[in-house]
Amino acid sequence: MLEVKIENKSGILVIEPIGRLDGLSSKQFLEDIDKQILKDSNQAILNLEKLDYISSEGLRSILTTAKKTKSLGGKLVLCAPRDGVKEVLDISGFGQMLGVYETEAQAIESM
Amino acid sequence: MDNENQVSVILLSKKIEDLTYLTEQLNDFFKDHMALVNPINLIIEELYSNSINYGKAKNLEVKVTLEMKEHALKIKYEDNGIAFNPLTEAKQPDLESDLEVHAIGGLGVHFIKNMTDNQSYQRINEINQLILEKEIN
Repeated sequence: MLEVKIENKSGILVIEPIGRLDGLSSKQFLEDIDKQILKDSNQAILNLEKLDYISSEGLRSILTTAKKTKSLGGKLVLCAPRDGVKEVLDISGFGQMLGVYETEAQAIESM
Repeated sequence: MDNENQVSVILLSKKIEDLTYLTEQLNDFFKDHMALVNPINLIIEELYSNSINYGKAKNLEVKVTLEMKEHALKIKYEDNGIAFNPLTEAKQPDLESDLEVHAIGGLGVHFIKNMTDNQSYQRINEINQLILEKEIN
């Protein structure tokens, strides 16, 4: 199960997935944030503080979003992953590729 | 835990909704080792996605057997898909390319090799059998 909170903070979209980003939820997640990025802003932060679990299907949706923001001239960065999610980001090379900040404030600062 | 090895068998079919059932079963099996739930869930989800997407079985049957020994967890993953040894035949993951060209194939097996200590594969009677072992401290 996944709940997604999206907030526009001074032109930066802060996207907060809560729960599990896996083979069950990643497609809907992608559709939800895709619309928001087109409508609102191509500067996005994925706040992972309340994400319990991510699999490669979840990573795929993040990759697609990151490519989209970049193609629109913006970017996507990550922040505040918990240990288990951080391990998956590290092993996959995603953390290094996209940039992971410890806090949302640091991520906002980087934009 | 008593001296008997704790064993659980989880059966999955070709419905991605079975992932919810898988997570429930793992939460139950690892109730004394909650830190193992997510890593093992990840390993099995990656294998299961591959079985669904590439296994080409008409009626996919997946059997996951978990066995908790004194210092190790043994995971046996079996499916009735086409013969495929993920340990040698899976794509190499793309860990370094820039975002624009980054592709995502092969990550599942990369996770498995990183998160378990021993891996072996055999094809027995039309069944793919992957055995993974993870040391437990």
